[in-house]
Amino acid sequence: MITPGRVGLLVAALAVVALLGSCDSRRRDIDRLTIALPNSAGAALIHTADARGFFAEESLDVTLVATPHGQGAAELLARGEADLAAAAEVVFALSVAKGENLAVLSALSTGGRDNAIVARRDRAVTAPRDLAGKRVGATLGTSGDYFLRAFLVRHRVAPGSIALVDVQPERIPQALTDGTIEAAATWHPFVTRAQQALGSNAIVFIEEDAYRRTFVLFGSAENLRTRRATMQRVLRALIRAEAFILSAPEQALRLAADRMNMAPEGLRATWRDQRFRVDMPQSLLITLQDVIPWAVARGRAPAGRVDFLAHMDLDALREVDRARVTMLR
Amino acid sequence: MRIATQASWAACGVAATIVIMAVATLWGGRVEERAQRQRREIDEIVLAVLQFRSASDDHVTGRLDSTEKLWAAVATRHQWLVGHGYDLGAEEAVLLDDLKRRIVSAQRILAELSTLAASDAEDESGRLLLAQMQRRLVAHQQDSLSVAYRLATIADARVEHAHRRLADITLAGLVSITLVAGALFGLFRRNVLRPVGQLADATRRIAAGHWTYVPLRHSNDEIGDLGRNFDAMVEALHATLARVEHGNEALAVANRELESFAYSVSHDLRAPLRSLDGFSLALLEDYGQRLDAEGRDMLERIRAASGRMATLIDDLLRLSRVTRAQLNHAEVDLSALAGEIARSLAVERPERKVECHVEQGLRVDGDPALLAIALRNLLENAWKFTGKRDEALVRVGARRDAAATEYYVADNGMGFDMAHAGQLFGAFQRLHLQSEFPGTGIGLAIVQRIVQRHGGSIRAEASPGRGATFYFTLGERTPGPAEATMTR
Repeated sequence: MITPGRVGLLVAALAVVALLGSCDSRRRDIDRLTIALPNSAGAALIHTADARGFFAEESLDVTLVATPHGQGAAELLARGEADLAAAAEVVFALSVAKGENLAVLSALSTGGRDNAIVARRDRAVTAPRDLAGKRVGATLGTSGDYFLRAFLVRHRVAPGSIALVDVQPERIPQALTDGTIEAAATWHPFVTRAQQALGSNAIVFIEEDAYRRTFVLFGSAENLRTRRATMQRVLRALIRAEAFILSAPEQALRLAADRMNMAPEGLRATWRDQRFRVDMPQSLLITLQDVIPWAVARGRAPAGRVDFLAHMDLDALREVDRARVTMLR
Repeated sequence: MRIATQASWAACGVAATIVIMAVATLWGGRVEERAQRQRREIDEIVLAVLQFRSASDDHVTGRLDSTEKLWAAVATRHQWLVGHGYDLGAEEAVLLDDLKRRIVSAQRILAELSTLAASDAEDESGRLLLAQMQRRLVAHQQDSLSVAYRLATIADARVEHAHRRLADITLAGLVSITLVAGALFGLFRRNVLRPVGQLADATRRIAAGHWTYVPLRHSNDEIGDLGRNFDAMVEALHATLARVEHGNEALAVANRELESFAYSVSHDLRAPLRSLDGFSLALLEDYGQRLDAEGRDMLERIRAASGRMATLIDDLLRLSRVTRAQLNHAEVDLSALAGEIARSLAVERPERKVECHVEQGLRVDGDPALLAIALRNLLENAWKFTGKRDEALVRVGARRDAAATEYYVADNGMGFDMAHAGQLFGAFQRLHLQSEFPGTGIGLAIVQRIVQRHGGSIRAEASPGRGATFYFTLGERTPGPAEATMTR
């Protein structure tokens, strides 16, 4: 029997359902975002957040665009084909030095064993000093290029004593085997591929005291400022990915390898060395500042001092978790 | 379930709760203690990192030995944390590993810097290397501080978490104990207090004479046993009471028949007795001259005997009337009544010198006529048995206590041996010789009958030659038999 009381109850129930529905529709207000990133362990947090659905849970529809190297990601960003780019800090420093108005949203990882020199033993390279007078390949404007310079300095080999050859990373194994170059400065997974291509003829030099690569997530300063809420959602998703990597490192490794079309074993060597952390460390500024004289000397950046601190978007991360920002402004 | 079993379970429950709470508190305390200790170790690491930074800033002064010692301290703390099986957490393990790696790297750089000769700084490659090493050193210092800060933050969070958990355990324990205590009280109330209260109420009602007791549904425990036993007792009492009532009724019928018979016999005996006395007198008057002295003496004896018999018959009739008379209750001023009787006795026996003290204000509820008969009998007794006293003293008064009020009539007369007290209130029972104290022995029997009809009792205290005191009570008006029924 329909009574006034029952009708009232039904109306109330419908109101609750409508309210819940409106809440749900608000939740479905999804932000679309494109992130350009290279196939590198340094960008594993982004792959993990995407694969685990952390971006989606933050109401973000993220499209990942893979590039051969960080420089490629920066170029996509510069062309407006990506909202954010993930790359080594060297790439970011060069872009800023060229006058692009970029800002770092967060550091993603640091590692000292990701970059390496792979050389041919049969070309009398058995020690770092043997590189003098050799043709050494590197992808110009990348962390490989910067690492080569730092490596040479560390071992007191005059940078001008080598013949630098610009080689795209995927071409390095071939260039080494066919003798176009006698050594190459690159990063994983190209280090492993070059090693495999040379077999027992390969010799690898790692020098973590010279350079620890920091992967950063950056974008146009304007974009980061106007889309602050979206960027904070990105940061939250990345922090969840960080926790996932800490709690299930093996699963995270396999997941990242799968995303980067790599065998887990190929990634494992550099993975162990990576420290994945969404933060803004003070030490980042040291490397960034060091890039400039090198870039100017190579003619890749105009002379002049760059204030990198002005290119750090500290507020977004600080509002998410202030303890993660140790950079002083 | 039996109450003893319930009590055992309750004790086990309380003990288990206390044990669980104690264990949980102990465990929570241990966790907190470990977290605190871990925090202190992290503090030591933070301190070592700070000192390491200070020392590395001074690398140009060649204080490498101090940095060695500091790293050794950090390594020891690290080893201690791992060796003691602390749950460091994945992040802490990664951070500690990172810290170790950075400090080792910084040590290497410092060692290398110490080997650089002053002349190296003049060389281009030397200058570049020096600048690179210094940058790396500073970067390591800054990152090490960040790591140490993060470690301290995590340790703080762990301490706080442990502290909160301990507080939660304490709260949970208190809530558990409260719930257990509440449950026990609820059980105790339901299984013990309520049934005991119902039984107490039932006993109180029955003790007050209200027999409207409805048996309860009893549980299967000790209280239930008590209740069932109580029910059985009430039932037995009810049966006994019914039998007594039945016997009383039969006895009352028999008494009434007996009294009727005694009245009829007494009444019927009076006519022949009058004939006997009349004809004896006629014989004595008309033919006395013809009889010798012995014959006249015999006739006189016949007349005296018939006179005594007439007195006995009158007494019997008085006793019978007292028993059969209808009770008409009213307020009776016992003091006034006693005083009036005493004055009439003084008039009737002017030769006697009797001092009579009557307590004033003795008021009772009873039949005025019957109470006057009872009081007159008692006072006449007192007058009679003080006959040989020069200074006779008679007192009328009352003794009150919480249970009842006892009225008394006391004298300082002959008294009697208490060994014969049992015969005092029997009809025609006498404790003294007729020649000393004349009477039929019916007076105290009448008094007892009147007192009993008022729902009271009578007793006597006496000793030979020291007087006697008769105490009597007059019961409260109790409900009639119709009111005293029991519902089963």
